This record gives sequence, structure tokens and C-alpha cells, in this order.
Amino acid sequence: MRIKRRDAPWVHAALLLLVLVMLYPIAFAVGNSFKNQKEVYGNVLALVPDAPTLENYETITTRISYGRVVMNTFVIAFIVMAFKVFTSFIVAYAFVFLRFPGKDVLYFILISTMFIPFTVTMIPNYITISRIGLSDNIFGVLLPQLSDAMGIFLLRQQMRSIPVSLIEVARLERTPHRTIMRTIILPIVRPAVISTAIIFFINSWNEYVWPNLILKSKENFTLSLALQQFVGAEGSPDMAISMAMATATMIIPLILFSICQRYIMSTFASSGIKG
Amino acid sequence: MKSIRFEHVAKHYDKNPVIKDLNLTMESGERVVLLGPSGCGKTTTLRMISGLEDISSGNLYMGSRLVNDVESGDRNVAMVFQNYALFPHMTVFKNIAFGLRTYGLPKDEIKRRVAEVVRILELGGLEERLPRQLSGGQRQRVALARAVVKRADYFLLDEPLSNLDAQLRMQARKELVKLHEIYHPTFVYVTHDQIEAMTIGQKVVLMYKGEVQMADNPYNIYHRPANVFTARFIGSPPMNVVEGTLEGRRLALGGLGLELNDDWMEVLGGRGATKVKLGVRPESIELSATCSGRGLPVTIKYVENYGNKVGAYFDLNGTECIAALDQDVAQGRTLYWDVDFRKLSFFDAGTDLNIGYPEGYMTRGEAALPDAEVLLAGSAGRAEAGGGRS
Repeated sequence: MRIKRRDAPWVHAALLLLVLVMLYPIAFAVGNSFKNQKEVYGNVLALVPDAPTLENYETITTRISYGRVVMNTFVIAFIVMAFKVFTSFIVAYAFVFLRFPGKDVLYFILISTMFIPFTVTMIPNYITISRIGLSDNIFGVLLPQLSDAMGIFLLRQQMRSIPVSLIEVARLERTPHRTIMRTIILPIVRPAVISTAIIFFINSWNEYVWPNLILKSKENFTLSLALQQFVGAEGSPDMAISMAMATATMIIPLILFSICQRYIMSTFASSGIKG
Repeated sequence: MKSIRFEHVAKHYDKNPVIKDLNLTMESGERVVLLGPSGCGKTTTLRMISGLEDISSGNLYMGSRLVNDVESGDRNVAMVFQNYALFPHMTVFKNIAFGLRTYGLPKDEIKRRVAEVVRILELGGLEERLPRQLSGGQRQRVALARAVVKRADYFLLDEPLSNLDAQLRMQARKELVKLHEIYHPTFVYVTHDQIEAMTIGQKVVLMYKGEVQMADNPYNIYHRPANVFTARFIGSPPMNVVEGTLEGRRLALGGLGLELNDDWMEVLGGRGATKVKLGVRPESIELSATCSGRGLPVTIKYVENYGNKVGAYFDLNGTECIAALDQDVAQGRTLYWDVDFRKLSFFDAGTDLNIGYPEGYMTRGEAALPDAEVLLAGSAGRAEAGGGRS
């Protein structure tokens, strides 16, 4: 949308306000995480601490093994992302470019699983995972999450815009499907694949309920579970420390997103099937 | 051998028949054009040859091999698609070399072959460009180059020129014939444009509603149409087809009568008093102001100007006819059509099939095809000179 010059000041003011509303909680968390105990309770609303300190972060590293928790979270998020993207990609390819009986019915069933709430599958999954001995294990967390109808849907939409004749050219040259996917489809839908991957990664990174159900021991915790420890109902919640933990939880996806965002923008700008 | 033979081939999607009982032979190295209105099954026929579409029943032979169940990759076909199907993320070079790379040819050989087609199709200097950086005509030539570089036995083209403007299309037509002369594949070309069909085809296969109406050389397609559909589809304006009744030597056309000559009586005489359809090309009708005895009087009801010719409309036995004349005529005038018996066709009124011609009439049909050399005379010389074109 283009903003008309006459309306510009008002529109900019409104947008600025929205940005502030969105950024305030983040600034609140980051700001308070650098305050000492006294200042937090004396002046909680100030965004910039008077005497910045790292003591809250030091406390975190003494109470939990931060590196281990980050590694757990990363391993889960990365494997979930990788599998979801891979399975979504090949399934979407099959739905778009292959002919097989029952294709439409199968796709309908697949897509309708998107509308099943997590709470419905939570209990059956929990029982299954514990019966096969994967409770309190990060593989128990990621096992039920290796594919995702949403990813299939998104990538299928993208692949449908690719003319079938591109695949037919390849078929005339005896090109195997894996080569078609790698050398033709992937380069064309790369921006969509990257965006989908980021969404999957961040969703898994922030996930709370399911890991909370499976993981029991602290050395297996993910960041969101560790964060919960600092804001729990037991004992007095220590606000400065919990804000430090919140900052430590969001910093990695934030960095990841800012790196990839540049990449996404450039791929969007330089690709395009129409030419 | 690079021939193609359809034996009772049918194709249907679900219950809808697209091709009904197709029997057709394409000779090795022949330029065959599949022509017809949209939805007639010509593209489906082409795709069955390529193997991208399987056949529902019947047998398809390529050379001596039955290919019903042979994968497209194993049929040695190259194909040019209507939308060119260039890979948007690959350079011109990579697009052209795509097939060669999957066959694992050595790098030097790939470079040599690509360089050759780049030279022939005048794509020099564009090798590192992406398709979106090319003009429509250049993209079309890249698509051709990618098919040519494979040196396949069968060269299939699905309306490859329909996205070009009229001038480029004329040039591309000559280029296609030139390529055929160089590599000599069996060449199957789909189009709905009859000018393209006539200029490119050594054999034109006219299809309608999934059936072959006529398969012959362009001369016979034009001058000796096998049925009324062919007569009416080919030519612009199309052939005039008027129903009449045979009454002895006389062909009754409403209130008018045409006295047939001995030659035609030999062909038509045995039919007795039946209805037939008389066919005549607009440019084969000559109208004159004076009656020469057997001239049929016609009243001009409308005149339109084609630039080089004048189209004069008149009614004959309730059917609107057109005569393409060299000179302007006045609307409302009554003129006389001095019938040239050598330029008539007759069709059975029931089956719409051509009844045949007297011996010795229109003999050119058997004698000569429009030779490739005639069409090539211009383009070949230009290619050898290596004239650069931007």
C-alpha cells in the first residue's frame, strides 16, 4: 500500500504508536533484566537501568545449566524444523506433480488435521510416548512433531504456481524425482521453504505445554520450561531474574530471524517465475 | 527408423473420449502438422507420442517398437512447449544443457553441442542471461535450442509460435524448417493456425472432435478436401459449399441449373437423382457482366475489401457464398458466374465425403509437395552468412 503524502504524518504517527505497543514489553523485559534487586522494585517502569548489572544473568547460570538448556531447545527445534520442511516438501511435490488415485481425498484428510486442536492429540501422544519409553527424553518431545499439514499446505500453494511443463521437460530427459526436486523445484520455491522453516523453528523454540508434559528432569529442560522455573508460583518470583531469563530465551530466535530476514528479502527480490 | 504409427488408438479422461480410434502413420523424417480447432485432440495426440500422456487403448509404435508402456524419457523425443517451459532460475546455457547434463555427457561435448545450437539459433552472447532477461523471440529460440541440442529422433512442438507477434512468427517458421533440414528428425507440430500448418507441414493432419478429418499434403488439403469439414476449415474465406440436386446432366441449385460436362458426368452420373454438395473456393469463382451461355446469374448483396482482393457475397440456393474478385463490383448488381469445371469439388450430401474428381483434374496434388527448398531459399542463405541479430 502506498501512503499518500497528505496523510503521511497521521499514518506515521499511528504506525509508530503500534510499534511502541509491540516493542514495549520487550524493552521492559530487557531493561529490567539489567537492573539490580533494589532498582527493580523501586522503579520498575524505567526502560533504561540507572546502574546496569549482569548479576541476574550470573544468577541464572548458577541456578540452571543454561548451555545445556539452550542445546536441548536447539536440538529439538532444529530436528523438528528439518523434518517438517523435508516431509512437507516431498509430500507437497507429490500432491502437485504426481498422479495417484485418491489424491484429492487424501489431501482433504491431511488438511483437516490442521483443525484438530492440540489438546485432543495431547493425551494419546503422551501415552504412546511414555509406553515406548521416551518420556523425559527430548526425542519424546520431537517424535510426534516430524511432519506438519500446515507446511504441506504452504509449500503446495507455492508449487502450484510452477508450470507443469517444467517438470515434463525434466521427465523427457529421464530425470529422477529427487533431481527434479533438488534442481528445479527447490530453487524456485526457496523463499517459501526458508520462511516455512523459520516459522517451524520459532514455534518449536517457544513451545511450552508439550515439552512440559514429557520432560521431567532439569537437565532435559528447554528454555521455556527453564523460564517457568523463575516465574513459578512457589517461592517469591524474582522479577529481575525472570526478565533476564526471558531475554535469554528470546535472544536466539531474534538473532536468527534478523539474519534470515535479510536473506528472505533478497531471495524474494531476485526470484519470480514470471520474469 | 523414426516413423510413428497409431493403430486404433483411443484416449479418454474418465468417460470423456478425447481421441476416438486414431489410425495414422508419420513417416521417418517427415514434417507432420496436427491442425484443428481447440479441443480437437491435437495436443493430446502429441503428448501421447511424447509419453507424457498414456493411451487408453490401441497401439502406438515408434519405429518398430511398441511404446504403449515406454516411459517418456526412453522414447528419444525432444519437445518444445507452448509456454517454452524454461527454468526461470537457470541461465540460457544451463537451460540448453539441462538434458545433456542428466545424460552425463562429458563437459567438452556439452559445450560443443550447446555452442553449435547457439550459433544456429543466433543466441550468441546470451548464454549467461536468465530467461526473464530475454525477449519473447529469444525465449522461444532458447526453448527450441534446448530441444534441438538433444538430437532426438522425434521433435515435438506444441504451438511453439503462438506467443510471438506476426513478424517474428514468419521468421520462426522458416527457422523451424531450417532446423528440420539440418537434423532431419521426425517432426510433429501442433497448431491451430492454418498458414503455419500449410507452410511447415509436408503432411497436414486435420483433426476435429478427436477424429482425423484428413491427412495429406497441403496442396491436397486445400484443393481436394476429403470432406466438407476440411473444405470449410481450410482457407480464408473458406470454400463455398452449396447443396444441389442431380437431375440427369443438370445440377439443380434452387431456381438455377448447372449443366455438367462429360468429365463430371463420368464421376457423378452413376448416382442417379440424388442430392450432392457443390464446393468451390472463393478465388475460383469468376464473375462477369455478360452471360456466356452456361453462366449462372448471381446478385451481389454485399461487398467487402481485403486489400488485395474484393469479397463479393451472393446467395446460391439459399446458401451464402463468397467470391474473391480482383476488381471491385457494385452492390446489388447481377453478374454471371462462368463455372470452371476444373475447379469444382463434389461431396455426398449424406456423408459429407468427397465424391472424387474426373481423371486428369487437379493433377498437381499427386505430383509435387511444396518443397522445403523453396521455403528455405531465404533463410538458409541468411544463416550461412551468419548475420547477427540482436
